[in-house]
Amino acid sequence: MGDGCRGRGRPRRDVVDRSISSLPDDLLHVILLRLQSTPDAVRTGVLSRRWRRVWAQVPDLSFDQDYCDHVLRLWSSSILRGIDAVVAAHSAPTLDRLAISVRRSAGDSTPALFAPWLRLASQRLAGELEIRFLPPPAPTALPNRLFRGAPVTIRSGSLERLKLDGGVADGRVTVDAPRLVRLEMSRTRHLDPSKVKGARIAAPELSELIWRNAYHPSRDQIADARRHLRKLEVVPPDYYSLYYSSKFEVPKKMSALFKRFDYVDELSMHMDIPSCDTDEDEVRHDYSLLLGALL
Amino acid sequence: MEVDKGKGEAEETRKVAEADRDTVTLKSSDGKLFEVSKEAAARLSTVLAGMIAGGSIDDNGTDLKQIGSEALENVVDYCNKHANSIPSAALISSSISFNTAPFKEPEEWERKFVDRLSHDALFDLVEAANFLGMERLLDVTCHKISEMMKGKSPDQIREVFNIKNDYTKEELEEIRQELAWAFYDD
Repeated sequence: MGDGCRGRGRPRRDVVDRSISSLPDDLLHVILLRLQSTPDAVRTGVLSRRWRRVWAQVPDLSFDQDYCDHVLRLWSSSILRGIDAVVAAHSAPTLDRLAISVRRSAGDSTPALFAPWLRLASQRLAGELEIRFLPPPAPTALPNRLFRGAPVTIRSGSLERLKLDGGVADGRVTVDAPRLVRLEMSRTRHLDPSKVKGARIAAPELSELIWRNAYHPSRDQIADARRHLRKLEVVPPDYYSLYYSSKFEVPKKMSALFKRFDYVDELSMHMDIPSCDTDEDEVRHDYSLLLGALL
Repeated sequence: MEVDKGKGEAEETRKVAEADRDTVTLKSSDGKLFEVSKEAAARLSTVLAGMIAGGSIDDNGTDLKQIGSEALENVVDYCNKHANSIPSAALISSSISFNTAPFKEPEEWERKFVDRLSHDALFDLVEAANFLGMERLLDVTCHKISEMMKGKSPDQIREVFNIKNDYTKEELEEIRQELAWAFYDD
């Protein structure tokens, strides 16, 4: 009747006056949501200008194991930059849900793949976070080493507990979390302290710190944190694994971590005391340095 | 005045009768009338439920200026089919908290219902369902469209939906690079 009338007496399929692209954005969001796959939704960005940013408002991110496998297969720094760019482009004001399925064996830096998404979740998630670990697939020869050390930045005003391990903790890490209370850094057991890329941690509310393996006194900076911890747990690197590289350095470096704090209510240390087939005096000296730093 | 009063009384009686009727009459943008079960309309559409409760249903056909006759026919058809189908436990429970409940797969009759629609009719129905606040119908229709996209390459999707690629070659290349990680097969 009026000008806005879209009704027709009968379908006119020969005339293209109606198309999916003419649906309003919020309905396209419902359609993309039903795809239940963020990569599928993101791919619609290439269809036409109309579709360029439609996916970016879908309030639900879900990644299945195909995404994980696929991204690991074509992994490169440009891929990581691409994911970062897409995360930056995502503009739904709040996220209702973030779901990620990870294969357990996908590689040490699988977390690096998800760090950008998790960062987005930490800023906007108002609903459900679902991370599923799936059983590993048949063994494949993924070049895991390639992903080691991808830089990870975590900024969150609401994050309270954080655990970083393996390939993520070995790489360059930046944490800026004003409400972080507990931080667990678990580096690879055999990581040479001189190869540490460095972590910069700003967490003024930090009261529990667990640090496993290599610590580098100058590259690792716990910058903005109190000098009084409720709990400090330190697991120095395996002494023997570093024996031929930098064994003298290890205790000295770890002791710097203790010196960072004035008071610790609960201290937990794990040490393997080497047996006597090494030069005992030398070993004792190394560890007395470490213990001396504590006292 | 006398005459007017008499007419007013007649109107009044008719309105009472209308309230007792178990169907409502809906009028499409192009003036066609459709009858639908009041119970089904109120249960499936938040907008119609509000109009029925608020007494703004017109006996001569409630104007739905946003909805064309073809789409409205499909809406009414859906409501009637829904009323006739034995509601499954799944649907009853999902209607309680629709927003939080996970999407329930379309039932067999719902699948058949959307499968027979042309693309144009499907898009019109999506908009009509949205306008009338029919969440289940909106979900079923959007699900159908997403199924038509799933597992297809951008070229295939463009073909299915007749989407014209209006990017320049350079723009497309740039976007493809940015979204490279989202492309599985090439």
